[in-house]
Amino acid sequence: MKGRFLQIWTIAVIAMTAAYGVHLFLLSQNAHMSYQLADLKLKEERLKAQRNLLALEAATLRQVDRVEAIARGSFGMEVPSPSRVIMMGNEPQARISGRAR
Amino acid sequence: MMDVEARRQKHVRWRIFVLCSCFMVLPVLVMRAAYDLQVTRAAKLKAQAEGQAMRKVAMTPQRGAIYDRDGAELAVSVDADSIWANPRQLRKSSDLDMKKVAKDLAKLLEIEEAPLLARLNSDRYFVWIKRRASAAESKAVQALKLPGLSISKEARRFYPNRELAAHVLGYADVDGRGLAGVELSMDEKLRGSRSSMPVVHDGRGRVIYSDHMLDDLATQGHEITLTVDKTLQYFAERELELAVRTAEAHAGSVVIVDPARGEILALANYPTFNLNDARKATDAEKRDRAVTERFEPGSTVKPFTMAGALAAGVVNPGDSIDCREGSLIVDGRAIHDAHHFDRLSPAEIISRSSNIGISKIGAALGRDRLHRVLSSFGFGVTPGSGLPGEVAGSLRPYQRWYAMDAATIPFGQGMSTTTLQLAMSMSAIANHGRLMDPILIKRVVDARGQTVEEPMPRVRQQVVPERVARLVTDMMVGVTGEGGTGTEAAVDGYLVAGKTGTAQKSDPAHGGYSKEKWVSSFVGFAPANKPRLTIAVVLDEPMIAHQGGAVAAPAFRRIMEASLRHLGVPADHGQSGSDAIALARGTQTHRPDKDARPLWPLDDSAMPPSPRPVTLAAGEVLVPNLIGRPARAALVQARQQRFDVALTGSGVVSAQKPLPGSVAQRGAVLTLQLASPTPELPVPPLASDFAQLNPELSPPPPAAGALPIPQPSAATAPVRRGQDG
Repeated sequence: MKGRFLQIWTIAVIAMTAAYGVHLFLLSQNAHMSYQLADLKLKEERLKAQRNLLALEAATLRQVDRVEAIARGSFGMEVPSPSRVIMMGNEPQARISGRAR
Repeated sequence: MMDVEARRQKHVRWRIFVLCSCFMVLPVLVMRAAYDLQVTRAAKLKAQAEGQAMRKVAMTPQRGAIYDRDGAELAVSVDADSIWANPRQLRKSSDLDMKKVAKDLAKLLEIEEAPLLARLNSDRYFVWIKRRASAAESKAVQALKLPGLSISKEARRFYPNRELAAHVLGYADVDGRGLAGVELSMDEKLRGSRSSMPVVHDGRGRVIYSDHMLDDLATQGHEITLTVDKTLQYFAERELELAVRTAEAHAGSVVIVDPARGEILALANYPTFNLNDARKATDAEKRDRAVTERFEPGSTVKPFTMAGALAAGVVNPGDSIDCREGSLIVDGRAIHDAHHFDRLSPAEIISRSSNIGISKIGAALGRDRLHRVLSSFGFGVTPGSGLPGEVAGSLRPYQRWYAMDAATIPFGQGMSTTTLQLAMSMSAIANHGRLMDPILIKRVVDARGQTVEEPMPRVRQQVVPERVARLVTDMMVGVTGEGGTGTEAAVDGYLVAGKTGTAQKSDPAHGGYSKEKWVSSFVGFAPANKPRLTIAVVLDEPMIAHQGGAVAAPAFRRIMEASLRHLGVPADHGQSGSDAIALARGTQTHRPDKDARPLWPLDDSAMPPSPRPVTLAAGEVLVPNLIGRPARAALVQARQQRFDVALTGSGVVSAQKPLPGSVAQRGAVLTLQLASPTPELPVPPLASDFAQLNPELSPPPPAAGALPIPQPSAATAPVRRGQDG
């Protein structure tokens, strides 16, 4: 009877200790992942800033006057006369919008 | 012996009992303490812990980007380094000579040395050295390794296309506040909201991720997509600059509109400025002339007068009008045509831009109906693009017109407009007689990608019936055809409808009109049979030539040609402007339908026949014309003019009392009768309809070539002259 009680008691204590250990482990994992997330968030912000910079650079390179200057100057391109333009596909429809209120 | 053994066993049992009791009581105590910590004092302890582990970080929202209609970046914010100092910490380093530090920094950052030295010698803990410094400057300052000098990130506004759409976009100051253009009008949405975010950190100050950090998108500024097309904007700016320089003009503006939707595709002004260096721009360069500068439109108003006259039935395409050999006396002063014409058809009055012909048609239409049709086309009314500083132009109440005004307003002198207004009005003719609200903002999207706002095309008013709009279009096609005043605006392969305008500028120094200063313009649309674009070109004070057909029309042609090609609008080979004028002449049998309803739902019989200008006494106001306006807009306008409003019915205003243009006491009751809007297009009214409504005001039957106009007997004195050609 006494031995059985001691066994159960020991098992209960071990179980509680294990549960506490798991709890501590989860806490530490949580903290670790939070650090990782915070780092990732920081990295995301840096990437966003970099993307904005690259978008700005791309927009600068896509300036219409720059493209035109390169097309005309470097590649010798010219605007075709209307008679040399053949439209493919359906003719765009004139849009009539709205109704009188 | 037995006693000893028994006592030992008893002692052991006692110890076991004590030990077991301890093992049983201690967890209870621990649990009791845990309960106390987790439940009883949880809230207080949590607050204490958060106070120690949390700090609030100020969130500086990123200003939203602005895109063109195809998603090309027009204005973006990027992080830039801002350099600041703690002067107290800087001075602690005894080996530092502050003068030398200020000199070095001023040289590196290209800023003034004296103010910098004053800031560094202050007793403050924080002073800005340079905000939004370049990467090279930031690197150079870091290399100095000065104590108390720090660098933080701040957003800086960049405009990758420099001058492109400068007046539409506007610019923001160093603190991210919009100061002009869309940056100002949409500042609240672009700016986002400043807030602080709670951040958990550990003992070493490292940030620990928390759920609060998920919410930072809510504070970011919205992104705005404009209706502006970057390429069309470039064409407009390039050709405008060329036109201004070629004609040696003072300034100029161009507006391109999609007539079917009312979307502003381009809005250009010259002189212009580099948005990335807006501080150095002059006021003249920053002025958005297309929406803030009024000018007398001149002959570009003739199509609108003609449309009103055709809709009212006072003139028919088959009529022949006596143009008095190029000179007409009104109120003792002469009106001239650029060329001497004997008799012209309405189509020829438009294509050859006869002032006398249109003046006679205006007289036949009558002041009230002329005023009404011009107001309905948007003259004298703010266009409503939302751009800051937008003005309405001026169109005085017809009761205040002098005889000369009544004769010259039909050809656009004695009134004023803006380039945007002119483009929108012409778009109404291109859009089958429907005046649209201008749209500049295509879409507003928040940082999460959700659409916040997306204005839809809205018809402001059906101004003239579709058939009349088509007829006027045909007449305007003749302007770019053989013998027209705007042949320079003709685009190869496309049918172009348009009108030249050449108006004298007023001379404030000597009174009257200047003989040397002109405003030259061309406004039109193409393809005339299926309009895709309306373009208005206005040049202020051109020196080389002053006719709209000579200086503005070529710019119109070049912009239209390039824009149609860019949009992929197929050419309409085989038809020219001269073909179209013949087409217009072929419609001479046009007569308004017998069963037609009046174009304007006004009780003309009740119109006050007050041809003389009205002088207002103190406390008196002119009653505004609210006919056709939605109830809410009418209510707002009436309240602004201090009227008490009584509404009956629902829908749009169909009648009002007192009548428009009459004089009332401030605070008087204005009764507005509302009615359901007409869903279908009204058809042109008959002259007889007006005759039934008001025999007094209805024009006499239009005998060919005999449109009446008052003929004073005074001696001739040459005055206002809207030339063309």
